[in-house]
Amino acid sequence: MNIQQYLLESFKKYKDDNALFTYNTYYTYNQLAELSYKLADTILSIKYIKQPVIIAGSRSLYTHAAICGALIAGSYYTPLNETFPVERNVNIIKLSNAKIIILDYTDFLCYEEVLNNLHDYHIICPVEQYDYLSEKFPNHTFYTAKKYNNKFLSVEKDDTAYLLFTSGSTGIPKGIKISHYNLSSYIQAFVKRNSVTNHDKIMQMNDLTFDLSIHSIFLSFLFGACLYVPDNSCKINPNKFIITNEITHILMVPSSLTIMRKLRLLKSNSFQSMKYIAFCGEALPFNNAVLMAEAAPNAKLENIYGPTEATIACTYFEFNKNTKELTEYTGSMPIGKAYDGMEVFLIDEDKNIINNSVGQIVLSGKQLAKGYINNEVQTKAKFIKIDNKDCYLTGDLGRYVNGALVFLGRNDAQVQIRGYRVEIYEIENAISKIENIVSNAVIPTPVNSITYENLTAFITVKDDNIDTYQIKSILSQTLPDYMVPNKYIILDNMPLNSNGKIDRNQLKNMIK
Amino acid sequence: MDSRNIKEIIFKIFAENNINIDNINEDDSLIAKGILDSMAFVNILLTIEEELDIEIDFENIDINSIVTIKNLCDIVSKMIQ
Repeated sequence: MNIQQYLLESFKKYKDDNALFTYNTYYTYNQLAELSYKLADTILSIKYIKQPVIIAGSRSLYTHAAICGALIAGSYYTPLNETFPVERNVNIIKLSNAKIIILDYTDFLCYEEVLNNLHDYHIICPVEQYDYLSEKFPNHTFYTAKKYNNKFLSVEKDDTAYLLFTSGSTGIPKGIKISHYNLSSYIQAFVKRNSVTNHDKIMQMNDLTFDLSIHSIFLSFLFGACLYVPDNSCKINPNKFIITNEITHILMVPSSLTIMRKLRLLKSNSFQSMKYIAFCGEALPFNNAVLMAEAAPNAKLENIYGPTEATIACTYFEFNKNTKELTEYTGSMPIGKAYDGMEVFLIDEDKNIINNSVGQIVLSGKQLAKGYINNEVQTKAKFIKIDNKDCYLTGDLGRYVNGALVFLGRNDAQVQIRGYRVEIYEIENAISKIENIVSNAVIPTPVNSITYENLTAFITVKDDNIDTYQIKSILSQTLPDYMVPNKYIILDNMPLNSNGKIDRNQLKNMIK
Repeated sequence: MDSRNIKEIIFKIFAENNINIDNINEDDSLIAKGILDSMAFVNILLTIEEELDIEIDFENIDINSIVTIKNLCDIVSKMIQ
């Protein structure tokens, strides 16, 4: 089976059920299907081939139908992000080789600058935007979604479903194509463990450019659930949205959980409607996770882990309010074991498989992409064969504790300080245990050198009743001297990137 | 404390956090306008609570409705009176 067939079947099956709630309006599967078919038909009438389609939108019915329409046409989609700099959006369009853009300008605020930076694209837009857009941008050709009676191109399992870009260290985004086989393997493994029905309400917390969005979108649309898309400001505090709409499923980054804790919202039994909660995207602080387990007494909770290269997530760890914290977890919730159809193992620096110590996390199996579309060097470095199996080197470190994999941070977070090998993550965990500290990040200094001398800790605190002297002396009790940061900078806010993770580059710039 | 003072205090807190709101329309959403991110906004709210010795009822106040300067000042003023 592939996602195209799944979608077509689901659209036939769920008809009058709600498919989408966005901008305070409900839309049924019939409404979503009708627009998706027209968009698919229009894509194929522009060019009758399998091709990339750019999605310039964020939350509207039109945008979601565009995603479905691209897949139903047998094509694949690449989303833009209205919060990205114009240059990055333009870059993504060019790197994707797409010639077709589906645009809902009410849903994509920076459309003007993006379109002005392009020439000769085929742009499909809502009927009511057609006159305005075609007059304003004569250098592009505009279309509205119509019925042309094209036969949808049938999808083979290795055909691409979506193409996402992740930041490359050189500044040029790296493109990752995920196939229908990859994505359906993810979905199948997920629903084998967890249930999704047409009575469920799934909240979409993530931007379309972040692959966690794909989890929520397709678990909804393939199983008849309703996808709830909040507006951006609601992401600050999903509390009220969850309770008002009786959300049943959610996938969030641990930073969102930190915000909820700060706002004193993780109270026992406050999220009665929740049936499934997953965390993904960064290390999940153990104590916050347990607070959520108490706040959502009817929910099954999982910490899931995985890079975009291996389709959304590929390991899981189920926990509840009674899960015991072991010291070897170093303050975070384990990431557990591999999804069905995937294998996860650890290797040492010589790429030998190891079991009993810290090693790099390596992934293999059905969800693995084939490489980067535009970066042969990185593809060769990261997608390698081990024991004759196709593998992906994550660059993340892990270790097995009682059979559960524990995430220990990035490989490149391992540095030499004055000759000693230091895991930055271990220091950050030690700092996070100090009372009064809300979040922290440790940066080796001098920044951007090969040999480091010292460490600078950036911290945010609950109140000012703690000084850096105290922090240093507490750390000295548990860490060797060379691991105790010599400099402490108390920030009012930890800078975050667009995915909600701590932005280490910004922190480095503060030191310079 | 009248509402003008409260506004001054709130402006001062933003300034102390290196967030410039001088040229912002009072009805603009600070987050949608990209003035600050959600984590930063939450931290500002916690600082306001602390400085004015109030406790905002985050469970019942829709946080999305206080993300503009005007609404933020209004709600804080109401709590003080």
